[in-house]
Formats: sequence, C-alpha cells, structure tokens
Amino acid sequence: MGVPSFFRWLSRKYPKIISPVIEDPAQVVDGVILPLDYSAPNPNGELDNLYLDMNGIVHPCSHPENRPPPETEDEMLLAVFEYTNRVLNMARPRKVLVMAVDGVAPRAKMNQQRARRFRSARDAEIQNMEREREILERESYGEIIDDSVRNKKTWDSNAITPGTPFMDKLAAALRYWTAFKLATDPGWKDLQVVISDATVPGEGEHKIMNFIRSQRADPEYNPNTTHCIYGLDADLIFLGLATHEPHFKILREDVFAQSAKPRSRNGGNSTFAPQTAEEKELLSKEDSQKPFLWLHVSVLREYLAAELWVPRLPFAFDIERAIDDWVFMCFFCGNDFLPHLPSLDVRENSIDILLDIWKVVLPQLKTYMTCDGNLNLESVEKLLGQLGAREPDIFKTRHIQEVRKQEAMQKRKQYKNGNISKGQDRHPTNFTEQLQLYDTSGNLANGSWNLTTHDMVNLKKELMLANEGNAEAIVIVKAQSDKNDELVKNITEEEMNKVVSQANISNHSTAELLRKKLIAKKHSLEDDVDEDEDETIKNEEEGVVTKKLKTEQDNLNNEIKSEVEAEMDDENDEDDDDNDDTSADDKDTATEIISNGSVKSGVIDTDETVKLYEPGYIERYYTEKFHIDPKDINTVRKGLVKAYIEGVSWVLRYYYQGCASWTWYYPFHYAPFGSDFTDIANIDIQFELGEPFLPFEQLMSVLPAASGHTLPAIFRPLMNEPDSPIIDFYPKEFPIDMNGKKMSWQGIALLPFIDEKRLLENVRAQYPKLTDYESSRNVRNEDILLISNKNVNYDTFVKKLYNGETPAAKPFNFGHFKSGLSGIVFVDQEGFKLNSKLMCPISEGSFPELSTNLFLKLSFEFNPLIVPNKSIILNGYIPPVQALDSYDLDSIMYKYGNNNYGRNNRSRFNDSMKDNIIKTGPSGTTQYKPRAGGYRAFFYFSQQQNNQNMNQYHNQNGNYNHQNQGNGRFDNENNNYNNSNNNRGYDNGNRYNNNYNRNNGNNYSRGNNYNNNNRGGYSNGTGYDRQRGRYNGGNQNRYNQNDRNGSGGRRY
Amino acid sequence: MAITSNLFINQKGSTTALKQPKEIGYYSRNQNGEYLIQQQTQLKYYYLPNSDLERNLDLSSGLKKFKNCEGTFEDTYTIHGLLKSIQYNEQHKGKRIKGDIIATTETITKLILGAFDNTNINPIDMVVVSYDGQLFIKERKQVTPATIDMNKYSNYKFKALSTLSQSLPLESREILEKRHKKLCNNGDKFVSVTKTGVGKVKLILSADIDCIFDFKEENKDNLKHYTQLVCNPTVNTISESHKFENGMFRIWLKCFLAGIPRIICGFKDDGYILKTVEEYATNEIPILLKENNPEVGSKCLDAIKWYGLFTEWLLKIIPHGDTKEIKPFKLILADNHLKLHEIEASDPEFEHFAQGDGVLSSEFKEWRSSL
Repeated sequence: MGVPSFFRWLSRKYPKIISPVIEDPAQVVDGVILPLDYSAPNPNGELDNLYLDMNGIVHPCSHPENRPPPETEDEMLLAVFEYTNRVLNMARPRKVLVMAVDGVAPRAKMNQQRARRFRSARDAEIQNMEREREILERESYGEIIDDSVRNKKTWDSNAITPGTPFMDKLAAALRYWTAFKLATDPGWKDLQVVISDATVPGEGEHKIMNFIRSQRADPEYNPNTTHCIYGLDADLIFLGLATHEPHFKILREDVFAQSAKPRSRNGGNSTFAPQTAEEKELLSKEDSQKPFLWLHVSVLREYLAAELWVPRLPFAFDIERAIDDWVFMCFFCGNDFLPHLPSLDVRENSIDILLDIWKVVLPQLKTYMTCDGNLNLESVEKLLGQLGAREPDIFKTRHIQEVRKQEAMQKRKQYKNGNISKGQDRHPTNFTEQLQLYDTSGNLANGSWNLTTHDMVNLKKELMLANEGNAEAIVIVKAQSDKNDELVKNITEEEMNKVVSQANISNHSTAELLRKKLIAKKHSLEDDVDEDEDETIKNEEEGVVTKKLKTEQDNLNNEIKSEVEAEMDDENDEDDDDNDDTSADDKDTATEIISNGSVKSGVIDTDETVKLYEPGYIERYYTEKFHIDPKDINTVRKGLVKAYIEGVSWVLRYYYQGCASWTWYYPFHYAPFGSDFTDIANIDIQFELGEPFLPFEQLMSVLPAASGHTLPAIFRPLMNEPDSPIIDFYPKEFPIDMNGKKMSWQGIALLPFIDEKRLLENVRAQYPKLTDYESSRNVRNEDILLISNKNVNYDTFVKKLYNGETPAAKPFNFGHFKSGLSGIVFVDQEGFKLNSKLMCPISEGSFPELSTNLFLKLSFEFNPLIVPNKSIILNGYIPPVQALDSYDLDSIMYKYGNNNYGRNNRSRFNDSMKDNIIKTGPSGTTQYKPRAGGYRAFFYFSQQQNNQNMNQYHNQNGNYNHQNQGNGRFDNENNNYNNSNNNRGYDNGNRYNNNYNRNNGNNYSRGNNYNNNNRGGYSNGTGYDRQRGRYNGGNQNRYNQNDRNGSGGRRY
Repeated sequence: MAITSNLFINQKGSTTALKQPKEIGYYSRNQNGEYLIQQQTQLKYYYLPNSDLERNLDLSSGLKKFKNCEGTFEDTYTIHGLLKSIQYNEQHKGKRIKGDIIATTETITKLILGAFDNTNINPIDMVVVSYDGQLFIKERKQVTPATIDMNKYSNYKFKALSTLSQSLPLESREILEKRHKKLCNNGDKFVSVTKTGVGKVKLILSADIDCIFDFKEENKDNLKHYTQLVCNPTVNTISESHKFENGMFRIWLKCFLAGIPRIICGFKDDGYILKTVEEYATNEIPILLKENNPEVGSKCLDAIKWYGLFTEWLLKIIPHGDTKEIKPFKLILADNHLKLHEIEASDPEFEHFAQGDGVLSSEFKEWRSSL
C-alpha cells in the first residue's frame, strides 16, 4: 500500500491519533554514555506487548535511503541490533516481545514480491550501467578511479528473502542478541521473547496477528493488555483495528519531521563522493536522533465511533462490526494482493467516497457487510453498484484535475520563460490561435479551427507548433478540425449523446458497435448529403424546402434507435445463456483468452489509449489491457469479477482468521470496474488451504535471474539456461505499464504468472543435489521462546522439559494469567542445553559468550483456536481516558472543514501534534460508563451538577472511574482481571484482610512497579459524555446540603 | 427438659475476628433437581460489554416461558445437596469435615438480618439439628408460589443476558447474539461450598454462585473469580438511593459470608429496561455505604458482631457431642429475640426431623455412621 500517502491522509483527517514519542535523553557521566535504565517508568506510559515487524528494521539498516550502506553483512546486523535496542527502549514492553521476520508468503503475496524484485533488479542493472558509463566518462577526462570504487557492487537487497544465507545469519544473530539482553539487562527479567524467523511460514505482520488471536483464545487472557507494533506499513493500522484489541498503538519513525540540516544531494548513493568519517558520523547521529511517533489506534477508534455512526439502522449498531466494514473498504482501495479498482486510489480520498456510499447503503441491508472476516456478497454488490454509477464522474474529474495541474505547470514554466506579462493582468504575451472563435449567433467563425476541448488537450503540442508555423502540425490540427466539422454536420450532438448514453447504460459493446455503424453511416451519408445538397440546391432553385435532408436524418435516427433496441434484446438473451454456464470456468476461460500483447519491454501507459474520461472506456479498457476482441469482453469480465471477489474474501479472511489458502492468487494484472460487479451474490467461494512453499521454492518464485547468487548453485541454471523447462518464468526484459500513474514504482510489471506445478516439479527434482547446509536452510520451523532465568515460569519449564537425561518431555500448555503470555512449549529443537555456552555469531561488536543458565530457550506453539476469532471486545475491558473532546467529535459528525488535504497544513500540523499527549492504558476499574440510573452514577452526576453550579472546574473529583485518589483503594492490583486492591477496606477485622491479601499473589500487575493504570493526577476534568439522558435533574439543590465536595470529595 | 434459650437481638457482641472463606467443593443442580457433585455444568461465565447497554435490553421478555422448577421440587430449602458435597469431600479426605455449623448462606444471612429487619419482612422459622458434633440449620419448608412476579423474573433475565455457559473465547457468535431468546428457569444452579468462620466458630456454608467473572482455575480455590449478579431499580432520587443501600446491605452480607469478592449490579427502569450496570467490590461496600448513608454503613459492623454473637450462642446452647443421636431444635424470631426451642420426642415434627430426612438425608447419616 502507498505507505506515506495513506498515513498522511489518515493523520490529517484524524489529527489526534498522532503523538510524539518521548525519549529519555541518555545520561552522560564522565563523558561515557550510560545505557538506558529499562526498568525505569516509561515516560510514554507502560506497555505490555511489543511486536516488531523485523523486515521494517532490517531493510532500512541494510540499505538505508539517505546514507551509505554498511560495508559488510555483520555490520548490517550490528545496525539491526542498535536500531532494535532503540525501539525497545522507547516502547519498553514489560511482558512480551515478538520479533517476526517475514517467512514464506502466501502465493497471493508472492506475485507482488516477484514484481518488486524484478523491478528492483532491473533498476539496479540500470543503475550499474549508469555507473559504468560514468566511470568511463570520468576516466576519459583523465580522472583515476580507485579500484575499490570501481568494483563496488550495490548489495542485493533481494537477499532479504527467506532461504538466503543472509536470513540464516539474521536468525542466529537475533537469537544471540535476545539471549544477551535477557542475561544482562535487569529490565528484561520478566520479558518473554518470541522469535518467529524466516523459516516459519507467513508474513511478519500476519504472524503477529496469529499470535494476538491465539492469546485472545485463552480464557485467562487479560482484556486490558496494551499492545504496540513497530512497523512502517500502513497495513498495520488495519491490523491493529482488526484485532479489536482496544489498547493498541503503532510506533514508527516520524515522516512529518523535517531535518534541520539540508542533506547533501549525494548523501547516499553516489560512490564517487565517499564521505569522510566525519560526515558519516554526523549522518548516523542524525539518524539516531530521528524522532518517532505513536499512532494511537485507541484514539482512531474514538474517531471512528463518531465517523461510522449511522442513524436509523434496522439492526443494532455495533462499533466493532462497523470498524470491520471500514477496514474492508480501506482494503478495497489498496492492498498488497490485488490491483485496486481503476476508480479507487488511496491517494484520492477514495475511502471517503466508499464511506459515503456505505452510509447510504447500510440502512438498506440486514446486517453489516462483513462478519468476523466473512463477506456478505449481496451487500458488497450494492456498495459496488453505487460505486459503478459514480465511476464515469470519478474518471472525468480525475482527468480534469490532471489537465489543470498540467496547465498550471505550463503556466509556471511560461512565467519563468517570460511569456507572461509582469503586470497585474498576467496575460500571455504571445497570442495563440488555440481558441475557437464564435460569432454572435453562436456559429463557429469561418476559418477558425473546430476543436473540442478534448482535442485541444490531445493536440496541445501540435497546436503550439502550428502557431509557430510548423507545417506538419498545422496539417494534423486541421485534419482534426475537419473531422469534427463532418461529424457536426451530419448528426446533431444531442442525439448522439442520447443514443450513446443509452447504449452505455444498457450494454457497452452496443456503443462500440454503434459507433462503427455511425461512422459507416456517416460515410454513406456524406455521399447522400452531397447528392442531397445538389438536390436541395436544385430544389431551392425550384423552391422546395430542404426536407429531404431532414428526413434522411430522421431515418438515421430511427435506424439507430431500432438498432439499439435490437442489440439490447440480443444482449439480454446472451446474458441468460451466460448464466447457465458454471462460473467455475469463468476465471480459467478468462485467463485463456487474454494475451500479453506485442510489447515485450520498456515502459508503456495503456491508460493513454484507454482514456477513462471518455465514454466507451470500458471496452477500450478490456481490449487494450488484455489484448482481446470485443466479443470476449463479457467472458473476461466475468472471470475477473469472480477472481476479484475471491480475492477480496481471501484478503479479509487473511486479516481476521488467518491464511485461507496458501496457493490462491489473483491471476490478472488489472482489476475490473466497480460497475462490473453484478450478480455476485451467488458466487461460491471455496478455498483450498494447501501448503506454504519451502524457502527455496519461494526464492525461485520471486527472484529474477540476476539475484540467482542468493540461491544454491544448483538452481541457477534453471533461471538462466535457455533450455531450462521453466526459463519462461524469468524474462530478462518485461514491459511495465504505468496504468495512468505518474511515479515509476507505481507501474505494473507485466510478468508472466508462475505455474506452480511446473515450478515445484523442476525445483524439487534438484533437492537431492543440495549440500547439507543448503538443505538445512530449506525447512519449515517452529517459533521459539526465550525467557530469563528470573521469569516466573522458568522453574516450571526447566522442571518439566529440561530435567533428566531423556528429554522425552511432553509439550504443555501454560496460561496467560501468570506471566502475560500463554501457549504451548516443548523442548528446543535446535539443541539448546543448560550448563553450556552461547557464542555471538557475528564478528563485530565484541559481544561476550553467554552461559545458557542465564536464559532458557524453548520451542513455542500458539494456542489453537477452538472457535474462530470474534470481532468483539473481550470481557473486562476498561476503556482509557477519552482523548477526544466534544469539538473533535462534533467536527467528525458534522464534517467541519478540517478535511484539508492541502500541503500548507504541514507545519501547523507538526506543532499541534507535538503537544498532543495521549494517555494510554485502562483508566479506572470498571468496564461500564456512568449512566443515569446507577447508584454511583447518581452521586457522580449530581456532583458534576454542583461543580458546574459552583464553577469549580478544577475539582479533581469529577472522574467517575478515578477510584484511587487519596488512599489508593482501587489501585489495579488485581486478584483477577480488574478488581480492586484489597489492601484497605476494612479497618477492623484485620485478620480477614491480611489473609486475603496474602492470597492476592495472582495479580495481573504482579510486582507492581509498573503503574500501568491511573495513578493519581490523571483526572479527566472534561468528562465528555455523549450519553444521552444523563442525569441532569433539578434536584441538585437538595444535594448542596449533602455536599461533601469540600471535604476531600467523592471517590468513585 | 427441653432446652430453650432466647437471644436479644440488640445485644452487642464483641467478636469480629473473621476467617477468610476457602472453597472446599462445588456442585451443580439441574432443572430436574438432580445434584451433580464436583461438576461445573451449571457454571456460567460473565459477559456483558458496555456497548450492549446501548441496546435497551428488555428484562421482561419471556416471562410467560419461565420454567418454575422450584415449584415442582419437594423442598426448596433442602440442604441435601450441601450434604452430598460434604460427603464427597469427606470420602476423599477420609475423615469428618471440621465445621461447627453447616448451613446455606441464605440461612445465615436471614439470621443476621433478623437483628435489623422487621419480622414481617424477614420471618425466621428454622430448624437446627445437632448431629455428630455439628449443627445443621435449615429453613422450614414453605409453599412456593406457582408463578413468579416480574421483579423476580427480571433478575433471572438479567442473569441470562449477561452470562454464557462457556468462557467467551469458546462461544460462537451466534450464541452471543441469541442470548435474549434464552429461556429462564430457577432450576439450574451452581453452588460453591466454603469453609469460613467467625470468632471461634467454624462454619461450612453453601452459596449460590451466579457466574465467574474471568476464568476458572482447575483444582484450585475459585472464590476470587466468582461474581454475584443482582438487578435493582434505577436510582434517580435520594429515597431510591436509600432503598438501594438497604438492598446492597443484604447482598453484601451474602457475598461477605461466602467469600464472593465482586458484585455486578444491573439497574432496570419502570419498564424493565436495563439502563446501566455497575461493578462493586464486596469489601468496598461498607465504605461506600458509610460515606453516603452512615446509618446503613454502621449496620455492617453491627452485622458482623451479631453474626459472631448468635453463632457462639448456638454452639453454647445446643449440645453437640460426638453422638449419632439427632436432636432437632426450633429456631424462630419473635419479640426481638431469637428463640431456640428443642423439639421433643413427643412433638409430631420430631419424627420428620430426627429420623426422617427433613434435615439430614439418610444417605448422609449412613455415610457418617460408616466413618
């Protein structure tokens, strides 16, 4: 997904979701920088679980954008350690850390990965060629190029794929570093680290989702667990929402921050200006001070609760289901598995368009569009139907905006070039003949060119040249003008539009056919008209009115009308026939029909011929992009729609339940139109789970031949030799279709889709020839768990699994309550032994040997899910302090004009964001909001009345949930999820209390140094309460006499 | 000579030393009146998210389909289930359970309330039986009305709407959405048996448990997970708040005796729509009451004192030697006194209580004889 664009859009629309990360400055004593005290309270609030999408760390550490990359792989790993350390110090999770590295992805994702890698290999090749050229150039000047510079090859970032030796190194490095921290950092003593490296199948973020779902499946799970995920992907926002874990936030680098110093233009990538050590240090220091920010999904949920509110629904409003629908609509605008619909683009507030449609459509439905990851196809059809109706407008508007942008750029260029007068009028000083001239009766002036706006756009270049006197250009423009004249002469525009729009509504191929007919008719007409003109002239001479011309026109119109009707009947019959066919064949027939066209390489833009902003775009789209005959459009379209619906279901299931099929993929490069989604309610969607590929199989599926060096040698001939049975999967040249986009990385790489059977056959045939080491990388492994020897579970685990000579120990399940992690553990499969030593696998950094008695390594399996995960808030959830006030919520409900997408917002945004501090974590002790009718609420509201009456806004007692002022009665030292501290209460009967307290061992906040929750001072003075019917009675006067406000106030 | 004694209810006791309740067993009772010892088939799990309260849940729907199982039972106040559970415990431990007084929490609560309530509201008419060194207290059988009123029904409905029969992660969405259609009955019960004490007196009490709040721990004491559910009219005026406080006092007594740490209270309006829910910790109630209504608040301490007093009194008065001879006593409240009167052999009821299974089941007596 377009990462920064979506993120930017979201943070402008809902500004308070962003807050800055507060980092403790490093303490320097005697010139030595002390390591951060992990155990100290986190200025950002406490956190239970942190999830790291390691690819988001490994990529920027191994090939950074704005500085030269590390020289060796060991240095890269060291950079990974440092970066991870920084992230951990910012977040300071207390209970669980999950480090997930991308493993083998589902096939649906592999296509995107393949496209990206082929592109990046091509780009690297181009870059290398550039370098070669530059070297030769410089040498021709006499410059002497150092050998090290000449031979330097950019590190192939495609090595960051499961199965390569680099990923193997990374896995070992992570294990070591985690063990090191567990053994040496006292703040890590309770932390439980789960490492899911590249040998565990699944994308990193989805492994994290699986983990969270497995935790929720444990009845002992704490519903107020606070989560944080680190990553750069906008997808994480949806993942966070889809977990329905409300205490969720995302940690990422601050993309809005502008660095104070201008970076040198050769900052990173030039090898000809190697930086001095000073410059390097400066840049790395700058990087290490780059600020981070939090994106609070909890606050986003507050916004969405207002945004997604739809009145008068025939079914109960459920914010969790509404959020699922919203997430679904965001996927529709862009995801990693399917090309997005031509009318939707995450950059163009398509989500707002879909949301508006959703709000209109929802009251007509029986329930929400999605349910726990399953789609209600009828509802989707309604939604897309509405979108389809808006599509022509969307395309036209887009085009007009594009044109305007171009014109504006032109004007700016002209201004620079001095063709505009400098005075107030700013009129062009060179006049052009581009404008059409009409006389006062509305007729085109003789001699001026008859051009439509459309023509003027297309022929802009020609027009300018024509103005300058270029003869060829003049001919071209004149031809167009003449053509237009002809058309105008014969068929009135109005009738033309009517007919064509009629055709468009009913059936598109009719329009095409019609056009052809019209053109044919026009030709024949021309002949007729000439005859008629002669006749009319003759008649005029004889005084007969030119009725004949008119009747010819009438005849033509009638003919057209009848043709259209006939076509419509035909098409309807055809449709019936089509429906009888089994839809299972649709996808396959479609794939058979389409072809790749003649272009084999280079960059093209099919959108230019398709012209979405002109009527008839649908046929052009299919014929141009799929290289088919118009007669096949229907079949292809059906196939596309079926596959697309499957795709959307697959993606939804992927986020909410897990991978439905490892082998399913969308077999086309383009998406259908919204208006094509008709009759989808009966599509039967079945997925076969299949199995993930092994790492080498995935490598062979996604890597281009140029990255073959990361694969065992035995496979390289398969990618390179012309006689390889699968050589067609590795084209050296391939076309890139810009598809109407401007940025080069947005183009679609038109690569052939891999035939899984053929690939696997050929690859697996080579397995017996692999070396042992190579085979060891081609495996599927389990996750591992690392804990320190001070962990509460350490003794139990050692006793049950690592005791005795025969490790015939059975795996066993442990629950969430004790340590904040639940799952199944068994003996480590990688040979961990107590009373042994662990060496550091990398040569840099001088890390010490570790005793294996300081930590414990186990194989770890997630809890199985008995029942599919439900999109609900779990029992016992305590909401946080409300971050949005009434102004924020009203501005969403009533759409105050703060949806300003303009760029000038940036600096203002930055400043206001810096002040936005969000208090995370559960606030108070109860799940329930105060409402009229309750006993506690009774006093709470009457006190609020008193506060208002007496104008005491500083009164700290207003917080309903703020139960622990003063004597901390309800500090969240729980004896089960979230009940009160039994420390005090009874002043008498001490024996009772003492006994009770001693049995409070099993608390959620054991060793309660970490004041997760509401410790004094977080009084929510505003207490915005949207609840209607809040107690507001006129009885407050009676309570003034009972007013105990003055004396220390109420504690609720 | 028949033993009789009276205890003035306003007499101030002095002992307030309390023992923390410990769970020693549990059982379920189903709609057929069968007791399933050490089985949690009727145990429910709490689930009522805050968002559900926006839906105007109707606590009156389904009244007509209410199954009044207790109407079909012979004796609603029987302690046979409790005795079975004790027997089970003793069978596994191999010896008699240590306890001076054995009764249901409801019984003891009533006895405590006797000191505070008018005898019309809270009539006390009980039987105490001395057997095998222990006292067994039971309320007299009474005729239960065939139909129940809306108030009582809405309580059952509230419990049905806010609980699940399995822990939340194990339940499917359909079940969650169909809760409002669940039929209610007063036959299903989950009962926890706890060991507790006041002063020198040891008690074995059985308590009806409404649900578990979070999760159950196998083979461990689950008292800390249990929750009491109660449904009261909404509080919108001061007088309503007083009524509520009195009601809370009663609930507190029960939870306090049984060791249930959490109370969740639903508030229904005049139309029996569930308006709001509030959570309370058992041990915060006395403080809360004292703050808002000192009169009621002081009752809590008085209650404990009285509790200590009358239990001591019972043990003092009634002989409880290690004999298998059964001695029944009548225990009533009259004239501000708890009156204990021995039921002599000549009394027509003697047969029923001493030999029959009016109080003790024959099964239990057999078991004890075999020990």
